[in-house]
Amino acid sequence: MIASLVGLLALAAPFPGQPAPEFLEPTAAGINVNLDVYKGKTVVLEWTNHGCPFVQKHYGADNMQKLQKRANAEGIVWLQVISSAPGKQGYVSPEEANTLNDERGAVVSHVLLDEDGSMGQAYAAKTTPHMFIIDPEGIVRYNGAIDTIPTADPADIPNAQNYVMTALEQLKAGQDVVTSVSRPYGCSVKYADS
Amino acid sequence: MIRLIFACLALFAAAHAQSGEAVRTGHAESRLIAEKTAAVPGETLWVALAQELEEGWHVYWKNPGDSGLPLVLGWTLPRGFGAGEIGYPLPHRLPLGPLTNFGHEGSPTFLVPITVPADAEPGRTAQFDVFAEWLICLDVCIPEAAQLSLSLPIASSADDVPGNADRIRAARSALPRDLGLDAQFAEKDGSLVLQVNGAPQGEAYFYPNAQGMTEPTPPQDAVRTDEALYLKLTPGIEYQMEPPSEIAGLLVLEADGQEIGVEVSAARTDAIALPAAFGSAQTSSTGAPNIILVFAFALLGGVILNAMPCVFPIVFLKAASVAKLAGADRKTVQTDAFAYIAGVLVTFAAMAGLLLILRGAGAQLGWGFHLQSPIVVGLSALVVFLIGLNLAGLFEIGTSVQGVGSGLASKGGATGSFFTGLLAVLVAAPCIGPFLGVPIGYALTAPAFAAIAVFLALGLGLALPYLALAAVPGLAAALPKPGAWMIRLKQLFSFAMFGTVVWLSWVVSIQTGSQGVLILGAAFVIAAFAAWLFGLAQEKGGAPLLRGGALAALIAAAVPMATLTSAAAPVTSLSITKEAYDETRLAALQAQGTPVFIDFTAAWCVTCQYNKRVVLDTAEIQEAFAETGTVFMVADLTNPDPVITAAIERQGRSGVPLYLYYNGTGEPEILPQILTQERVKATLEQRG
Repeated sequence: MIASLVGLLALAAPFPGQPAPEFLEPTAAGINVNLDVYKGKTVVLEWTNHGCPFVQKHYGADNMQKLQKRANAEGIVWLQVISSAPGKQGYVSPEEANTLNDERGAVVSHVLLDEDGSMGQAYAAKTTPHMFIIDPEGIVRYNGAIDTIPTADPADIPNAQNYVMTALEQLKAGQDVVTSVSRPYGCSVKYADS
Repeated sequence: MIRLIFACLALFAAAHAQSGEAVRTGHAESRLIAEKTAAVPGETLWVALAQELEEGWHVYWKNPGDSGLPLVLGWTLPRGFGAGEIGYPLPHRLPLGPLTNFGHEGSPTFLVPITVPADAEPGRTAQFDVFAEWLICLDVCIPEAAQLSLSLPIASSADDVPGNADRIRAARSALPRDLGLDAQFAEKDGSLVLQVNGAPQGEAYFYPNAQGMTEPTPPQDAVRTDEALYLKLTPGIEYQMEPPSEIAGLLVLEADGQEIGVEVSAARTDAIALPAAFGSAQTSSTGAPNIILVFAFALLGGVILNAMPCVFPIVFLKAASVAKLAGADRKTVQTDAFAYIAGVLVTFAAMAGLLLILRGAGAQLGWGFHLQSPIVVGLSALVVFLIGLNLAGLFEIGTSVQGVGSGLASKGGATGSFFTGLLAVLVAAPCIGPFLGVPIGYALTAPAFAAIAVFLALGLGLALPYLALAAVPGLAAALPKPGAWMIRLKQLFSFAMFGTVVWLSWVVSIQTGSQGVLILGAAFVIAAFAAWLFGLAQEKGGAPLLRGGALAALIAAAVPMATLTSAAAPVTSLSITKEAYDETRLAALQAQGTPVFIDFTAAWCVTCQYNKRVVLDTAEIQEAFAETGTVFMVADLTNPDPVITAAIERQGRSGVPLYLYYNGTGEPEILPQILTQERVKATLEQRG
């Protein structure tokens, strides 16, 4: 029964060209945000888990932060999403979430604390990191990995092509995103056991 | 950077032959192993990354599912050596909350074929280095890596490395098979329907080769018809973005706790006619033109079955009952014949039903499958032994001989005839006559009604002589008149039964070893005692004490049979080496152009034993094998084996004997089911 429900949810995975699922989640700042308030702005969703070696690869090499700063400079909304269930790897309190980002120098608009996994499942987020780009009309424009080399080795970052950066550049130039889907790589999102 | 550190460490690692040094990483122990003691120039050397994973942890298949990463191997090999693609073990589904990964737990063995160049210099050492990277996860994930190495001498010949060879061969025999199955897929109401024709039996799951092609979590609803397997798949994001014209992957089938993997490559089609169970139109009809021919062959096969060595004693038995009826009125003869036919047909129908049920349940079987259990063989031997005692005159069943011709006899005679018919079929089962392979092969894959029709045709063929007896008035009258000669004849027939007992005992001895023969021998003695008590009771008339004693003795004889269990097949000494059936080895031999002869056999198959004794194991034929360099492979079906059953079905057959000859250039040649030395020699030497 649960499996078939999950199956239905998986079917609803938004892919590029489709409207992004609405969400309403508490943030580490103590407010609730939904997608609708960002209408008119480009939104990046980044699924994360600070204990995951693949996330550590991109934060440890300052790769994620660079991307965040660049997006921030262009007025793009960056939402970090933590879908780890309580007790699972990556689950943090609001304070811990803020401390982590301060220590890493991360620049994000908000950290969404999706501890029941509802938002993660609405987006069919599979890994950390798993990236989405939503355009000002609320349409998904990119769904997939952060870059082209699926390893946990920071030494690979310089040789990889960053999908998210490329997609943001193409959107900025008013073009279609060429690679709008890729296989996300990383640790599985630590949802609650079903 | 990590690579650099490992590379430096590798410099200090000592070189080890055959098995590289085991490297412990956080949650796994990994080493490189080789099947052979040396690298032979011009041949393929099988090596493997053998891992022992910490309990609960898993690594990933080539398509890791929702998350995860497959194994990456970076080889450093001597000049001219080449490493092939990784041969993964069969994957399993690893659920993780709402996500599902495809991977391996426990002790996975990742195979890699290494081609050794023909000009490799014997006497030198070949060093194989690999930098292996993998992601290992419990619910948390850790990337791990190890620098592994292995060094082997280069030599003109090599032996198996104990332990390693077994592990590598077991992994190789579990590799997905390419059965050349016809497959297609179509979109239907937001799902994908995959149709695989002729898929082997078992619970099915399809693993696409490409990640994101299908969603790993939703269940794959399966429906089977007689021709095809239909699986409902949920398209993944990669599929939705760019629907492909072909989906390739691995179909894993699980039956009786055994799994086999089959490669499937499905082409897109506009529409698939779905079976009713998927809530849509019925499938199209099957190859109807063949059915009449198959039916005719089944009928003819049934008639010929009467002359088969193991049915012959039963024919004797039937002949005895016909002899009893000689001179009886026509009505009695008719009743008797029809009872016999009914016995035969009911048994065939029951077997067809059983076959269909087992086929539906996914069991791998062939004709004669019921004789694969030593318990059944032992009980058959006991029954045949008792029939022999009955014929010899130790006791009587039903109406006595003296009653022949009296009006009262008809009832008891008819019942007796019914059971004679039943017995004839049970004993006939292991003898696949030259004509039976095709119709039963057909029945195994045909629609249910056609399968039952074919079985009934077989039964009708077996019973045909008696049908003629009932239908043609002159025939019964032409039978000799009854007299004292009948009792002598009956006693004579008992020796045919005892001959059958010897053969069945021999089958049990092969299946169970000497312990089984002891149990069987004891059973014979106790059963004979039971028969004697019963005969005594019949002489005295009534005598409930004696009858009770007989029954108790009979039970005491039969019950210990339940302890008969299959033992490993004994090794027989022969002048040429017979290899066990191994499909990867077969493929390798074919690639080299080496001719291969495959003997699909079983201890319970009389024809097989005849061919073995009279043809295959003769000095002359063994010499021909040695001279032509033909590899002799034995696929032994004495105990059930899904791989061998699948191989037989691929040839459109369902049972043994089956003899295949690969001349090293292509398709196999199927030899007749009854071999002659001339035929086998001609086949072996045709390559010149």
